[in-house]
Amino acid sequence: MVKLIKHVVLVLYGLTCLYPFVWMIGTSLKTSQDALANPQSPFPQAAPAWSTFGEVWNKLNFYQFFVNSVIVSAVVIVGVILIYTMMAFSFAKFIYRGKKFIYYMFIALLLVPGVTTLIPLYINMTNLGLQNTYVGMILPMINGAAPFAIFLFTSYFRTISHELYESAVLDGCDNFKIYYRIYLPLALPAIGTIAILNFIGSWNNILWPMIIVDSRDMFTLPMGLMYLDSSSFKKWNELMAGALITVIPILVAFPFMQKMYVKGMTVGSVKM
Amino acid sequence: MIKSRNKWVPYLFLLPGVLLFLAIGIYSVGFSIMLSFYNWSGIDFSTARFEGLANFRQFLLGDDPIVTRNFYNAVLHNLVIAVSQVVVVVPIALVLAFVLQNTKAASWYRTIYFLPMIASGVAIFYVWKGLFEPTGAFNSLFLWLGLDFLAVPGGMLGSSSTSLLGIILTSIWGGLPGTLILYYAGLTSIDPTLYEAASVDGAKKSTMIMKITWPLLKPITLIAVIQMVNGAFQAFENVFIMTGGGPAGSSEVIGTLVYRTAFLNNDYGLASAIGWVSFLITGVIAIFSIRSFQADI
Repeated sequence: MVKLIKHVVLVLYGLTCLYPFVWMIGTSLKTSQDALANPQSPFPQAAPAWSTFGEVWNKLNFYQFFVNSVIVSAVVIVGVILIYTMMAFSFAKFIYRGKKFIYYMFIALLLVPGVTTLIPLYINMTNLGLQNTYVGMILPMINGAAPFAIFLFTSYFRTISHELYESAVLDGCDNFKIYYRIYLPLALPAIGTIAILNFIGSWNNILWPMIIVDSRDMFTLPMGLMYLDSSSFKKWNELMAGALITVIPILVAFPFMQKMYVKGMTVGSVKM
Repeated sequence: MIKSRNKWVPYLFLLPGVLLFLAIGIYSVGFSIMLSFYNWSGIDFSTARFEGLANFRQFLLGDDPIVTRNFYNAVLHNLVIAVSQVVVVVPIALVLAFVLQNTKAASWYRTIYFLPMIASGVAIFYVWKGLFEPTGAFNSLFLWLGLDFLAVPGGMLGSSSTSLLGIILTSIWGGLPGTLILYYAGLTSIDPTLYEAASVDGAKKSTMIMKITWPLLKPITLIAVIQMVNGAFQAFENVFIMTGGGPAGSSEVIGTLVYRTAFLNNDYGLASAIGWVSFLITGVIAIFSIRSFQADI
């Protein structure tokens, strides 16, 4: 009996987690009339209208949005991992002047709400001629990822035995070699976590791209969605088809992400 | 930790990150502090006028009653979102984590619970917007249950008395899984010999929960609460997509207020000033997050 109640509770909560996705998929398969007449239903009343996907994909140049999103997210992930593993290596391995100051300066970035520095950031990037460019979108996202990435990588590197470092030095390795031959491969779980966090973050980011980009060729997927929404009368089937296209890459990477994400969250917070 | 023989080596590793930080972080922070004392409508900075504390007086002390009201409302809304999220999410997440703990199919459930956490973004906020439509799922559900008084004719987001509730429901949906998984990870990492020893000593189950489980989960609760409060004060996308802060400012948060002031009203000085005051507010909360981020370096 207790067992049954347990599962009822778990299933009920599971349904609330799933329902929005079911409605999204169902609505994307409705015809325009169906979406208008039965907005509350999670299932199409008529035969699924697969053509909506093609229409949205072509009409709005979703292919270009998709490519832009992939480029931005990929470069952000690589940049964050390279730049901040290097910094973390320095923080975790060496004693030198100014270390604490620099470390806490980066962690303090966490304090500043993104929206506060938005205006100067925009002016800065425009002055550098980076409006409507990938670089203009990417650099601030990398910088914004600094606090958590540095924190996680530094804590992780500190758990790696110092003897490994010493024996590598005895074998004639210099510091850069030690960094990318030993520390980088050993930090893969932490790297995975940061990669996922930043994939989700940059893939879903809307505020910054919306400000720095006004040319439609440079739109990312969420911006494409907002563009779909801007038509005077809302076509929920089209909007949901666009939403599904936006979410699919995240769902595809889902099984892998789940494992890494939980691992990383535990590295960061469950210290028992 | 060691002292490098070549004393430049540690700094070389810092170089790319620090350069980026100087070019983007420091410049932006410095310039936006300066801007908060200026009146400026953008484009050419030679048109900016130094005004001292005028911007701050405008929205803090009522020099401009409308902006002042908007600001205090926005702060209040951020606070309400933060508190309601913590109050609802922590107990539910704890209970669900307990229930999930000794369940055979836990990994199946976990997979499903994980979805809102990673997929939450612009696309999903549009889904919620659709569910809140006047003829959408929520209103239909209320009517079907016979709770007609709950079915707002304009949809939950279309009425100024319920729009914030809609935002809160969405935040809870998106925030619950993360906390649940944290608690679950915490519970499964508690050494079972602790419970065995306690039961040998004749401890009751409730005593064990109060004396063993809860104290060990405390750090997780702290982190979860900090994350939720921080997230609530940085809220932007959900409000921007679902209500745009309306109707009649009923769901305005600091993020949307600053965005609107800067990029729609072109009042960059005022927007910066509002941003920095909200920074001071979040600063108090964030000092706690720094402490939880204290690695021993």
